[in-house]
Amino acid sequence: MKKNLTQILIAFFLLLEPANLLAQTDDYRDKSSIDEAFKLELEALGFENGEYPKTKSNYGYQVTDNFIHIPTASALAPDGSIQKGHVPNIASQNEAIHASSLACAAAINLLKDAANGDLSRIRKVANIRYRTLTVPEYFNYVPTSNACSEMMVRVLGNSAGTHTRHAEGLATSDDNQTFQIELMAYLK
Amino acid sequence: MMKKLISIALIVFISSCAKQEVMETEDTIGARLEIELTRLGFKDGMPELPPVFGPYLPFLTVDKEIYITASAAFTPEGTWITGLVTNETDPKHVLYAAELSVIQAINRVRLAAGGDLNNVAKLHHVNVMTTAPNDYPHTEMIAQATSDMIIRILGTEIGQHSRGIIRSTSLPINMTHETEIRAALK
Repeated sequence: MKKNLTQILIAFFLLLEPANLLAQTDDYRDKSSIDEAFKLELEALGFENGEYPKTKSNYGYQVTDNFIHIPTASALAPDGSIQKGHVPNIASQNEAIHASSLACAAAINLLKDAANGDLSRIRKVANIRYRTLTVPEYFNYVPTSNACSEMMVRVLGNSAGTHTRHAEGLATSDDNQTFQIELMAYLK
Repeated sequence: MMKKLISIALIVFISSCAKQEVMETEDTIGARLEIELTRLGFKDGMPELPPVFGPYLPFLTVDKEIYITASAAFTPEGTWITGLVTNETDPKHVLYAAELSVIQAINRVRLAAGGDLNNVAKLHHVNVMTTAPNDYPHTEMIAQATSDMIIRILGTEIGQHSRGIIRSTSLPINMTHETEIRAALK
């Protein structure tokens, strides 16, 4: 009786394990499919050959064990400019949304660097802080934040790309930049 | 024989005391939370999570780290507390918004911890986010009330935290106040 029970339990776990593996790999993306997705985003944003430029305009990252902290990713455009000014008085809503996409691309590029060039090594984007230079009368943060939240999922997939987030309005920012991102993520 | 019986009785007594202590601790977090919920008008206990506004998660865990999306003030009637804080805003109104946002934040932490706050080992950090102008005289009091409420619910050992106060020009959907918590699971 005991032997039978043990066999049933073993069979149960053997059946469960492949199901778990399937669940884990359901949204699995390898390096080349993530690179391809990122390239498409960069092309859509106007980056030549879908490649992010070698630049010192962003502020780097810190890796501690498997934890990645990107303190600031700026909205660097393909021509090297960065959107400046308060939303909506100087920068329009659409410009803020575009800046969000550009800052997101910068953040993903920094994640790639932090993962030694292999975005499939990113286990999870844990949190994104969206910082927009705004006037108090402006409340329309959701479309601006969503531009990056959606890109993160498009590139990294649901498992690694979905995240918690926070959007805040800045009264001032360094160099008067309209939009910046702070990001926390984990390596596999 | 007698000596053995006394030893067994002693072991049973000690273990039952320990069990009782654990149960009291579990009850205490639940009971304290219930007191706060009742005080704020949530008659049916912890409210459902309100919907999110995009492709993001209200909470997540990575290993033992808990992350939550910043939580705004959701009333027992199912509405958000909105509007900028000005120097004329009654501090009681801001305090109420802050306490409701703590309930939302604690709820997200609870769900991240498998529905049981007893699974939380420690709060790391709390961000208190206000739309108050920079000369609003009650910001520190609001932040302190936030910290006090968290500790009332979770106790000092688990609930004590580092804290930041962020003055945002405005918040998404014109929210008045938000709370963000970073915590760790046991």
